[in-house]
Amino acid sequence: MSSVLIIEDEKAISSFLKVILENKGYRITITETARDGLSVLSTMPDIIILDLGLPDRDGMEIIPEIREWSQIPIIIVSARGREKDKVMALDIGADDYLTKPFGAEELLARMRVALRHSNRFKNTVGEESAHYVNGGLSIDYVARRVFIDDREIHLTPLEYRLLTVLSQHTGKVLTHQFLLKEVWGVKYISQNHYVRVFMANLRNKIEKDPAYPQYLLTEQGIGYRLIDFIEE
Amino acid sequence: MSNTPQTEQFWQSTGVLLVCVGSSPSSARVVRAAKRMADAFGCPWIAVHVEHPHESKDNQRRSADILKHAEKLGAEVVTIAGDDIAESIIEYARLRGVNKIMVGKTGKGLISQLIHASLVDKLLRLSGDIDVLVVRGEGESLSHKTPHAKLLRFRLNHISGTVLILTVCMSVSALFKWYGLADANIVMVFLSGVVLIAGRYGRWIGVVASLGSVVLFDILFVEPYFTLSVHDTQYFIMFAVMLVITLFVSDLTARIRRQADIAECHERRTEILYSLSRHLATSSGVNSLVSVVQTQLSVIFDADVSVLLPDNNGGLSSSYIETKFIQNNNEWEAARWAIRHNHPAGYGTDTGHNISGLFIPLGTADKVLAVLGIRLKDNSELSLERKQMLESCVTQISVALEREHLAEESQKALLQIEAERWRNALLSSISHDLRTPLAGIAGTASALITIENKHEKPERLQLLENISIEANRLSRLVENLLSLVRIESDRAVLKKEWLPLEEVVGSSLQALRHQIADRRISTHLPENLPLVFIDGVLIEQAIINLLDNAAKYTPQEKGITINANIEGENVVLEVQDEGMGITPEEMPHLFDKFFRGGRKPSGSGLGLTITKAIVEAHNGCIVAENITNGGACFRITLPIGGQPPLLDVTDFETIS
Repeated sequence: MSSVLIIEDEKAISSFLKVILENKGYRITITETARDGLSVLSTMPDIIILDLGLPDRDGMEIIPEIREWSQIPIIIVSARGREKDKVMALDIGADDYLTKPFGAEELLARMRVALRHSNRFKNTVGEESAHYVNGGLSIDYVARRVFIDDREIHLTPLEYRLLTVLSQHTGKVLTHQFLLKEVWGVKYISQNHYVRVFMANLRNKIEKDPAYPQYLLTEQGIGYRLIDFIEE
Repeated sequence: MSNTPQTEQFWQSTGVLLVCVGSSPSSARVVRAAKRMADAFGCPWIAVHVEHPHESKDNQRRSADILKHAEKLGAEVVTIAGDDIAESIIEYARLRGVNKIMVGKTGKGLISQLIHASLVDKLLRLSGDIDVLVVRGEGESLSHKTPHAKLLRFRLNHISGTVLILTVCMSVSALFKWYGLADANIVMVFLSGVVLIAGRYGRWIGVVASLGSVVLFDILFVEPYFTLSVHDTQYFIMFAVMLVITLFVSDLTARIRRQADIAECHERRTEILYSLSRHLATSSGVNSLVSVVQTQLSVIFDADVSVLLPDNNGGLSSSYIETKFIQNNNEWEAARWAIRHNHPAGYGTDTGHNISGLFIPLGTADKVLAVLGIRLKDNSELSLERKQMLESCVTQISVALEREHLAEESQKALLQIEAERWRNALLSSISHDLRTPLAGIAGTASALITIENKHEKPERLQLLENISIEANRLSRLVENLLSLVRIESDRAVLKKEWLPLEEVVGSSLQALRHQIADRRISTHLPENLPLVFIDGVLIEQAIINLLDNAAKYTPQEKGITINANIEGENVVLEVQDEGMGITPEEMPHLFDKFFRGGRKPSGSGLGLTITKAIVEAHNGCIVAENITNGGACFRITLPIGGQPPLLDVTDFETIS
């Protein structure tokens, strides 16, 4: 079973996380400071749960330090609820961000998504699966064809690229910055309305009701997430 | 001027127009002509008056009037000092890059024509590449009458001095004659006397003295003695030479004296301005500035001076200063008028009836920072020279005041930023300190629920779920309170972006998916909705609160409808439910803080208050009403916010 490193100084939080996660069969290590957390990293946990307000350092600082040498999924749990903080954490390499207070189920679901993503990354380095299926949405990456409930839909090249980037990170929140960089290139990095307009077009083609989407969800002020139907 | 290419060049070029202003009434007409020409070419124009220290009071006043007139017509008004009008004008014109000079011609009187012609001629000669336009003046020139009157006004001491000098000359000459020296020596004595007189008392006494010398010489020292008869024409030559020398010397000394006067006057002005600016520079704070201005100006102008500052209520305050002469409402009204119109008012201006004292606005062209009130102790009007002096002072004071004003503004901005930072720090620490224990409670409850055996002790599970639900409710209340404080205290908190409204509606529904899972939700958003300039996170919060409200107060089986459409410059969003509607008692209190609809008190009573605050922070409005077939409708109107940015990517073909 997967091993989890929890870096959190609030005992009330870490102890209930321990109960929930051990109940689900995870192996748990808890540290209360950033320094201890970084030193335990050599044991190569499968996933890290990181609090931002640590006694010795800001959790935000150690994300890039970990990312320098490792792709271990990092889930932030923080009392900082501002979108600015979330976007920053995601942009510098965190995989997900939960604002305290959060529910146990929500955390478990996010962890499963992150672990699945990292396992796929581990197992199939360099060779993407040719076919993608998620709920009623399927993509044939080779033939560049997209189906919704077995009905083929026609996308423009940029819409297709946007959808494939989202599909490669199914279940994960992708920031506006990230999408703009991946789909349009660095030049467009401050043009948030591009991704918004194209996302609206994509919803019009994929969703039954674009004003109440089932696939392409908006994380307001942060970015977008293609829902993972296995989890929801 | 010729009509060939040069003329064309003149009409084409814009540049700057300079108009010469004298004291004759025709100058007013020349000024009007200049105004028309400047308008026609859309070029700036300068009205220039060349100052003469010996100009009569009347002429000074007339020139000042004409300059004032020019200023009203939009000219930049300049007075320069110089002995030679034409030279001064050309020099100034070159300095300012003037390319056309306009000067009036006056047609009445031989002398005036002669004098004027010489000015125009000289201007033409000196102008070089500057165009000179001569326009017809009208009316009679008054300016050349006064010298005639003046030349007859010999001063008593001038006459006695002249008589004394001539007497000394006579005595010395008699002595020379006694010793038998040649006539030429006697002539020299008289010549010296005349030069002395011309140099000391001016041209006209010099002329009289030279005439007198010739007569005295003729009568006393030329045979036949004691008669005016002359046998030799050489004495006429002597007279002519004396006259020429007299004129030359008197002119020279007069010129030197005039220049000395002008220099002295300028030096005094520079000294005063320098001292004022030094005092202004060393003062800090508006109050000290005001007191410096008051003491300095009252000494310079021998006047009562007040500086009035506009207060926050649009009135005037003079708390720092004595307002000796501002006794009645007329003065206050003039001061207010000066501030309102950014234009001087009071004594000596058009708005000067029954007002003692002149009120001059201080500040920049866009903003009046204070008004300066000044009244000469002798209640007279300011002379042209002193008016210009005052203008220079006003410019300096305005600069100093603006400096103070800017310093104050930046201080204020700094304080505001500091307050902002402090409030944000406080809010985030409060939110952190409330969130963390709530997270502990909610998390622990959910952990216990997870490991609890669901079948053995259902009542324990129920209790744990209660803890979880209540903890979550408390945390929602905390969030609501904090966001209400944020929005109400600072509108700058808005982070507006161009968003599709559909996306915000979608994310609101997504956020409430658990509460509305079993309901019929219908959305009616037109496809051509433009992007809207809003803070997505806050508007999402506003819509969530409306949906949450609808879900809370209507039975499970009732549907919720969301409509949107464009109305002019606004986008209108409606959230409708199919419940009982709003009762007349509830209606006026819907958006009040902590008001809860009587039927089912489960909310915090802040949802609608926050929604209203968010919508109003966007300069929008929210109304609630009952719809005809039952149910409540909340309608949000938001400004679209202008023209959305365009996309420059062409991506319209589909992949085949």
